[in-house]
Amino acid sequence: MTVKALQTLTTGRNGVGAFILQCKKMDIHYCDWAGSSKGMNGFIKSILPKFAAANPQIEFVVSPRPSKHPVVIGHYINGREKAICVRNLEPLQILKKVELLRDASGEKLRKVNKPVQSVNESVRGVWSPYHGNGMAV
Amino acid sequence: MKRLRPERWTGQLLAARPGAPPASAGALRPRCVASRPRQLCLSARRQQQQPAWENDNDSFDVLQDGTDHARYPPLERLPASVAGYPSPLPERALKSAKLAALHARLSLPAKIPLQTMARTLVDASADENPQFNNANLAFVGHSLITYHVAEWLMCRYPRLPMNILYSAVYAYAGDEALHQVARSWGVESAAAPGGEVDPGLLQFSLDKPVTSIIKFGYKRVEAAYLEKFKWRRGISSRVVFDDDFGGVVDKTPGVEHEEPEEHEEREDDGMDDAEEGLSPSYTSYGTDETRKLAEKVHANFARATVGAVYAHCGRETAKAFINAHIMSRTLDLSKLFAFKQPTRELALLCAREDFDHPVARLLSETGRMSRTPVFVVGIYSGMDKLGEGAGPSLDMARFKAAMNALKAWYLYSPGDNVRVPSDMLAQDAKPWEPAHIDMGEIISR
Amino acid sequence: MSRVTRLRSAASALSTSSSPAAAAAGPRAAPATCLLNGQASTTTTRPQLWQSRLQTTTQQQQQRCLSTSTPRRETALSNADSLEADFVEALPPRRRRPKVKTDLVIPKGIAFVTRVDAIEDPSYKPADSGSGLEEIGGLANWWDKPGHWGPSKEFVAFGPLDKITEPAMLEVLTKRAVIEALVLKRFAAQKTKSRLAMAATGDKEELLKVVGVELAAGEDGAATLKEEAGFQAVWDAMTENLPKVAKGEPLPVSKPAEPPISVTEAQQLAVSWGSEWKQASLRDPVVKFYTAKRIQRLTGHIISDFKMLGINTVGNLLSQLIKPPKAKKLVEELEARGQLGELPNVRVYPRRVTPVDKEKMVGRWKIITRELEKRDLPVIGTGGYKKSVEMRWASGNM
Repeated sequence: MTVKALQTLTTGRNGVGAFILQCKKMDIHYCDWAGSSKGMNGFIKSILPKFAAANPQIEFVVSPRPSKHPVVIGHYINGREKAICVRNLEPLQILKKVELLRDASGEKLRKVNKPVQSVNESVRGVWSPYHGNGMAV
Repeated sequence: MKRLRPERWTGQLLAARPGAPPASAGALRPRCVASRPRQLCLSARRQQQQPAWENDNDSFDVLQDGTDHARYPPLERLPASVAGYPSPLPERALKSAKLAALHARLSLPAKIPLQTMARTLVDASADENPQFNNANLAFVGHSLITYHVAEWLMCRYPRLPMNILYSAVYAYAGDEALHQVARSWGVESAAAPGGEVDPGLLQFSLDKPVTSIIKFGYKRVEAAYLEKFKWRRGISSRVVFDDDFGGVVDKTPGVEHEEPEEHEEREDDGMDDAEEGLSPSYTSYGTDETRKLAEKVHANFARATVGAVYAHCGRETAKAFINAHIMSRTLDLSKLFAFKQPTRELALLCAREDFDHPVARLLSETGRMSRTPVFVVGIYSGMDKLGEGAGPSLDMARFKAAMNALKAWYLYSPGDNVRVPSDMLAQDAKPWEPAHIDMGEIISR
Repeated sequence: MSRVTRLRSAASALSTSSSPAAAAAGPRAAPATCLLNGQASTTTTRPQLWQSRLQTTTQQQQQRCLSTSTPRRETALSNADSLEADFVEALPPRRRRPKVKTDLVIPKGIAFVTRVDAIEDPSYKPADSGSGLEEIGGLANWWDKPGHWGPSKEFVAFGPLDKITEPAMLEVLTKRAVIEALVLKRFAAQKTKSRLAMAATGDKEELLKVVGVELAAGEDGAATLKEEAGFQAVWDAMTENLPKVAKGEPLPVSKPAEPPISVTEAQQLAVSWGSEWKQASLRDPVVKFYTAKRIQRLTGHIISDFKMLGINTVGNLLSQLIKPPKAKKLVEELEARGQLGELPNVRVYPRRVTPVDKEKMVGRWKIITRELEKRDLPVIGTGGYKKSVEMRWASGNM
């Protein structure tokens, strides 16, 4: 055999074909007794039904955590999770936090220095000293 | 102390809507493990039907699991019979939030019921009963996936050598790739299969792996000799006998025929050499064998999902699903090539195609006497440059140029939007224009 | 007491002789002048001096007692009732108790008892100790004693204390209230009767008569009775059994009565009317007020003014009244609302999800249980094993 085949894997590109929302589950914890959970209780009663209906791909689990501050924990497909304590927040503020969790990817927050991140090659090619008209010295 | 009312806690939170007919206790209550009646209720996502045991609240024995039910009433009241089942009952699929979320995440059409999705998550190692596991669906899905991937690659890269094609198909539709696909769908796995687990978890057992029949091919007469004496199989015979990835098909379960040359230059999969104390492949994520088994299970789930889409929604939807999830992945085919004698091969190719004999010419160079020279060599057939390569020595540059020339030949594509034969199955398909069919391998074995 | 008695007797003896003023003026001045002069006029004899001094004390007494009053007369001690009567009479007018007609038992004041040596009953024997003796007198806990606080002071609320919460009953009574309000507005000129009708609770026949009348939308959308004759009919039914009140007298306060029909009857009635009557508009403030007052009388529900602003139809009014009790736990409220439970991707748990629950969901729990039982280890808890004995020794609990 003159040509041997190497084995590699394809790389998935989320959004090119199908888009998979990276946030797969949200744990919503409230408390019946704590005053810091008042906004959270209101959020669960009034805003969460619409939000959950608008995001059917996220699994919502609402359960009490007695005598603790209310917290929202987002679980992502890459296995990581992000928790945000929403103590003493109003329902609409909690909605903002929940939207933040939904829109996140689960990756650690890192600074992006380059304007473009891509697996594709450059369109015009990388400059080579061996091609072209040379350099006049 | 207040009297506890366990029936108020969970049952009514996801109760049936008023007016929904209660399931008759006789039909839906299974009597024994072996003969479970098949539930194929096509319920839309929104329709919530209570499982049979929820209708009569106090007339069944609750599953006992060693915890204090008075202090911690079970979050989901299950009958004691559930402990005897290897996988969750299909009715429980309607109550699982994980399953509903998975269904929506994949944007599956509403025609696919949650019960089928629950079935795709049950591996044969969890439940042997083929009516309740995903083996049959995975077979259908595997056939569809490999068919579509193969025809697309063949039409798009008609001159690919067969073994490269096999490798490419494996890169798109093999166990590892589909395992990554399943992982990217956010599927979690159960620690141990049973009737009480959440139906939205992928259930399998690593202790008793059961090889379900997924691949299709013919058993070779000389199969035993192949295994024992490591005989080489020719490409043409592979096309006839072996499965979609060129691997040997053997009925004996658990026997894996590995291609020796295919595994030599595997990419580094991050295995830690330092943790080789117990066995060479033992890490905190199990052993090599268990990892392979888990990969297989995840891949089978992905295949079974495709099978479910085909079963409920038809051919076109399944093709669109495969396009969206599997064929949208990137693969750099040029990285699959590993040449042995590229100059010889190129010369034979030119001879076959009636080109002028290939000549290598030095195009430019620098640093010949230095430690890091660069030679740029171009291979010409007459006045046409077939390929160009740069290397640290003249020979390396020549080989590189020959390899590039061969790649340019093999990776020829009529275009990105080539028509595939399955397009003709659509209703209003335009007449078929013949695809480019290659002559064959340059040096065939 | 004896000293006063003596003075009294002396004073009474003296007072008969002369008018006090003349007697006071003369002899008082006299001894002073006499002494000052140094030469006493021997005309004043010693008995005279004594007399004058006595008179002085009487005068002083009178001055102390506000000279306008007559000096106290001598009284006999044996008669307690007369003592009390005299005491009461002798009090200045402004301290006399006013006479009030009430069913409260007001404390009488000082209780007088005959003295031991004045008791005439031969069978009387003084007690040896205080146990078993009846305690009389004293104002402590006066109103708590039985019979002292009269029923006239019991608070009678306008509406029943237990608010009616049955939805069907509320519907029936609301319809009654609306119809009666419309009729009352029509016949508001008859002030007494309309006030009494407002406070009446009525019986079953009246209720059925009133409630049988149909509501309809009038010209400008406002609610009104369908037939004109209905007004008079309802007014007659309402004013049939009203109590008679004379002019100028205050209206009688009566307790609100239970609704005269049962729950099942109310349900049948409510079902038979359908839901068209609930769209009747209540924009007229007079009708709204009368309806609210009538509803308070019949059901006990008080609707605040703020809520009243937003109530424009009978349907709004009913939704205000028919309200389920507020849930104590969020889970109960979510169950009542039902929205979150219907969503397929939402799971609500009524109690905390423990690590054991998570293991159960994943299927690991049965394996944990099996392995622990294999090794005879406790599955939940410590199995009776406590902390190490050395810790106990170190902490001092031997």
